[in-house]
Amino acid sequence: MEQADIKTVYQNLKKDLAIALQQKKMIMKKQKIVYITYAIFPILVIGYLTYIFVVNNTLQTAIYIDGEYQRTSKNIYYYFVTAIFAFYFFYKGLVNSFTKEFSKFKKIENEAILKMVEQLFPSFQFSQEQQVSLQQVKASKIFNWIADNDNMHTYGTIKNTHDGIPVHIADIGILHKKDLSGLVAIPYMGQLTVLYQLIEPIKYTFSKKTADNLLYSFRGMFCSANFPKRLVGHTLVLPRSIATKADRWIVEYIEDEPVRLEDVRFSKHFLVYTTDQVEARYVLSTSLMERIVEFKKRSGQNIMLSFLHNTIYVAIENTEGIFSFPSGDVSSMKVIEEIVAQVSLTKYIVQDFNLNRKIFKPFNTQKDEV
Amino acid sequence: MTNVLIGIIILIAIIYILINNKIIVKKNKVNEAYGSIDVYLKKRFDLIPNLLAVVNKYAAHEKDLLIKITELRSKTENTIKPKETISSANEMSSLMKSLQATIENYPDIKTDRQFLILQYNLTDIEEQLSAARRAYNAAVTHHNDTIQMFPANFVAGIRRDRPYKILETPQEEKKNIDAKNILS
Repeated sequence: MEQADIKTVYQNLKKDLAIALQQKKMIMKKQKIVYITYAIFPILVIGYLTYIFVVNNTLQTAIYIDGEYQRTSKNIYYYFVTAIFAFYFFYKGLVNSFTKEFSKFKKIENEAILKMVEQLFPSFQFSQEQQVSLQQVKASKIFNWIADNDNMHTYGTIKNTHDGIPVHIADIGILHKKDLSGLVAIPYMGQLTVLYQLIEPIKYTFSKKTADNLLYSFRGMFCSANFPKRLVGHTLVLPRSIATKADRWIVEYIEDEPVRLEDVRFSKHFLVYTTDQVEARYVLSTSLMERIVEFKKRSGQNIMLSFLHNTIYVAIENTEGIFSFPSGDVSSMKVIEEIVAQVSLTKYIVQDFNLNRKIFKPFNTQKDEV
Repeated sequence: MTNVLIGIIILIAIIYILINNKIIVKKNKVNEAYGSIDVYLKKRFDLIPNLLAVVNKYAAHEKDLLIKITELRSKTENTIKPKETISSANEMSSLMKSLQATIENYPDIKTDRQFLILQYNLTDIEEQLSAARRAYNAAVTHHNDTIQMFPANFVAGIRRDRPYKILETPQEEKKNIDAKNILS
């Protein structure tokens, strides 16, 4: 992998990166203002609902004025409605202005990233326009929760060759739409769901991530390369977690079954599902299992793998993405180092997973690439 | 009192049926896994005559080894018992390794396209065979765990189920690599 000197790239892009990072600082402040303002909205709604259910219905108060009882609630009702409408228009204006500035920031960030990748890895084919389709990611079978109406954004793609093995990587973000419609049928759950949806975004007030990264169910690297074995079914290697087990349990996914492998170190970190017990072991040789554990340690992130036909798909979770600035108050040098670290992982995908195994292949491998 | 007794008997019967079915499933998994080993052994078995024919063209001097392989192949063809099949298969694996080491002395053979295809297929089948062994051992462990644990051990006792033996790695594969032998 040809890679330029980090210090030289830093010297060349110091100015551009400083401007982009300054812009990021500013946008993060505005993002916080938007979310703090948003937090006021549920307070208004809860106040209004309390008024409707508690004050207006059960605690009807009236004041004795000019010889007769007069209800005061009518005035309060108008104040609430006016306040909510006024707030709504103010908030909408604030969001519109933030969206415009955020788009400007993303443009500056993209330009800085493009310059960085082009200077750091001159031999790579980097594109910020090429989009990976949701269907392509779904076909890997790594994300069994993906629905057809989910949204996905590609931040950048890289095509490169390591040791003669073509590797395709994409920085993607998948936005999974939660379907809460089933809850509406349960008494009071409808109201609670609406309330939850109103309150949920308040948590983002304290997040250091940029707005575009807040809602993704998966953000990170999606990579595909040819695997030097012929496979009929599929084998999935997923992080060992309650979430993975729950996903497999909730989502109807009966075509594969769990595999209990003999490598204790590997099984401590991963769960394996396959359509064929023998094929799973054919793919996951003892040496490959060791390499996967080493690769996980190296990346320091959640990694997911899928072996399908003659392709290996690797998804590496990175909540900040590869082709975006890291969160927090970071230096220009740190931005460059992070990108180098992430992109370098592709080299290790080839080396660690033995994709460059020099074997004679008497058949033409079918290409199934991103 | 009678109702309680009937209830307990029905409950025991249901538990027995469930455990019995579980043991049957595990047993079938073991048989299925053994079936996979058999398939790959058959694949390797079919490949050997072609491989020997090509090797014979270039390394006719290695008659002893080629005859040994041919004899073992014929012996394996008539084997029915699983234990004997596995033992012959292990022996064949070690002979195939010796053959590969011998071929190193004949550089011309490596330029033969047919040989390269056969060698690739053989390596691939050996890997699949190794995977099938691991799958078999996993199925056996599952089965043995089930029939040895309470309360399934009672049902297994009634059914007279015995634990299966795990396939051991052939001695040849356990041996340290003799670099001298390979590099000579």
